[in-house]
Amino acid sequence: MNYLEKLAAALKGLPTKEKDDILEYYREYLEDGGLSDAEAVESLGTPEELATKIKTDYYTENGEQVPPYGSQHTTAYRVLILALIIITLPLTLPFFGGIFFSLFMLIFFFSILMLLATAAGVAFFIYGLFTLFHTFWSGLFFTGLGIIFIGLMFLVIPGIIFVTKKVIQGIVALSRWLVQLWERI
Amino acid sequence: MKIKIPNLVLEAVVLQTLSEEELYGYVITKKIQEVIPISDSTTYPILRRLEQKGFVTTRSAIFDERTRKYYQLTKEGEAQLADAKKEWQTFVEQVNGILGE
Repeated sequence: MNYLEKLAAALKGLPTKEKDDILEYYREYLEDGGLSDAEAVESLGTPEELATKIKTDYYTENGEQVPPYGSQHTTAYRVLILALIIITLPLTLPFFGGIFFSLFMLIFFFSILMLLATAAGVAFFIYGLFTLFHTFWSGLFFTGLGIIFIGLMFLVIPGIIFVTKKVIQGIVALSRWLVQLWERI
Repeated sequence: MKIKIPNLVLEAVVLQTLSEEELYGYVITKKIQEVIPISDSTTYPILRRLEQKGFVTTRSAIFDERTRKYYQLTKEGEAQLADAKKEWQTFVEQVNGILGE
């Protein structure tokens, strides 16, 4: 990364407009001065030092304290949000928990059903094979029924696996989104 | 220099550099540095404040196939500069009244 890219990274957390203005200013500054990255460090300090200076200036001017980790809000604000989250937990937790629990129960239920259907299919098939020698038609019926059940299983099981994967991916994506949301506060 | 220059004075210094012609960030910094030892990163926040307060306006011009932002003094900026000069005069006289010349 060059000086400006590092500066851009170190300015994370400032409003975009502000950040763009700063980067534009220093881009012009380095060009007008004909400064290399090494000379830029000598003139302006490391990108991190410059960013700290800019942020301190920006936040003190806006009557805020400099937040850690480039957040746009004060610690008090974050604490307030955290308190709100905790207070609403008795409501949100059962809601999301309920949704996930229902989904997993549904998947579980279908899996069991499929397992039973498969077992039944195999049982029908074997039973049919034996009956084939006594009563041919009913033996054929049960053999066929068994094959249908087993075939059905081959159709449905990938579906269940697919749905399960999607649900897990959904939970991961949701958690990631929540973490990002928290970092932006 | 051990004395920290007050923002009001720094702002006036920047306004003074713009009193005759519009200039861009790098040149403003260098012009001030010819007389006062300020760091290269001092100018940006001052220019930003001056623009917010309406004491300077900016325009982007194409120079050498790239953009350059020029700063100009506004009427309000001129008034502010005159004010700040008076304030500074009074301040210097008061301090000199005690510390002598």
